[in-house]
Amino acid sequence: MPSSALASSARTLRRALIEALWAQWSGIEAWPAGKPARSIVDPEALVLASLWLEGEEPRFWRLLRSWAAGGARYLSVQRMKNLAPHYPGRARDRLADFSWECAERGGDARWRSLARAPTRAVRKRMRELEPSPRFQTPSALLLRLRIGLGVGIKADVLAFLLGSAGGSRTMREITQATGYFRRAVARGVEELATAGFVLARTTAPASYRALPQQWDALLNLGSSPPIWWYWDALFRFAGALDQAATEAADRTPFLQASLARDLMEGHAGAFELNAVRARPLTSASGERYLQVFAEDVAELAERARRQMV
Amino acid sequence: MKDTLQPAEIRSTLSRLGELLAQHGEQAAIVVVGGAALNLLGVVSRATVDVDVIALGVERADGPPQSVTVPDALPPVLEDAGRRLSRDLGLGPGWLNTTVTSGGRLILPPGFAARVTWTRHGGLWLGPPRAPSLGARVARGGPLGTHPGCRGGFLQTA
Repeated sequence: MPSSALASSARTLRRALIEALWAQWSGIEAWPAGKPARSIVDPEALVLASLWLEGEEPRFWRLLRSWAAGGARYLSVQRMKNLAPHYPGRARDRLADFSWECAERGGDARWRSLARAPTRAVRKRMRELEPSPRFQTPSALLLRLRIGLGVGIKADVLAFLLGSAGGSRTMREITQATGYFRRAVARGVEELATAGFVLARTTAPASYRALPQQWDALLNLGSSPPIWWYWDALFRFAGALDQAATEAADRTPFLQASLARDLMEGHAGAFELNAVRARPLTSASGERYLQVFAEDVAELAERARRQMV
Repeated sequence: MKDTLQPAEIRSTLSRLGELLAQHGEQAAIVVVGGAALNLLGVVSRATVDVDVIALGVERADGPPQSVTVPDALPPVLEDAGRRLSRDLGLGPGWLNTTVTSGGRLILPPGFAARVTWTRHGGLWLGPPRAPSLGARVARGGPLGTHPGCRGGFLQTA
């Protein structure tokens, strides 16, 4: 295995994610010409991942600016703050620029606490795209619910449960998916249950579900409602892999393999939650695990590209 | 999960322990005895179930340790690296242990530290104790019990 084994896996995944991001943007914004995603777009994760990968795909910035102008008010500043620390430094750094766009072009003062005014050089190269958000597509379900119910936990919980194809989800799963604080999620979920928006089930632990047929008339979800995939977990793993690959460039294959196992231990959810069965860490000894890791990442990349959008 | 370490694996496993320590900017010095030590010294070539750490070298900035202490347990840095190696190489959870020190109550014979030959493997100083008379003892088919590389020959407090 070459010494850049982790870098190769990181590159494979980044490429797949750039394709997936294009599909997601196509699902919620009219400008991109690609095939739109059908699965539910996690908007804060989409913004953070686009900010991270903008270095590799500079056209993302124009979309981000356009979105800042037309969709900023439908993004959750609190959730963005919760998610951002788990993304690569570039995403966190550029979030300040994006926040400035949201505050200035989007006229949304909530973003001022995160904003940083761009330099003149940056401002000069800006070319405007008129905002053209799409809220009626399947992938825009979460945004649509936020527009209807307000930006906050309840809309996100409802989107997650509706994206679970009628399945029940525990509080832990809901918290993990939505990225809000557990107590706040618990209160929101209980209120949704009290209001009859979701069904509380007396399982142990307690679980909740949203009945698609109950919402179909309103949201027109159809026979194949959009699925919630765990994009945030996937983006976090990809970012961590990218960082590890940079750090490990000159390490021995054995140490790279050890680092790869660390990544798998810390980000198992990126695979499991997105229905990719990663092989056990003990499936190959020492540096031979790099091959297993590369194959598992390649499978995840393929899934992101083909089945998760 | 491996039950034993083959002779060829003992040195490479300890070398990797050193790699891991160095990678994390850590350093440690261990004196090993028992089957692992005898393999390292080339006295025997047989599988061993674990690596017995009888002493820790007192680290110095400019060279190998010159004195040793008897630990009651592995220091956290070695415990962590050992655990990681257990995961990475499929070794048993106690593959590196200080059982032989009886919880730190073991008393080493006088001059023990001087008989340790240290070699460096990344962040690990590795020192099996040597015994000049061992070759003759083995050649005669004599017992190894009194060799410092074996577990016998040490005093224990009550």
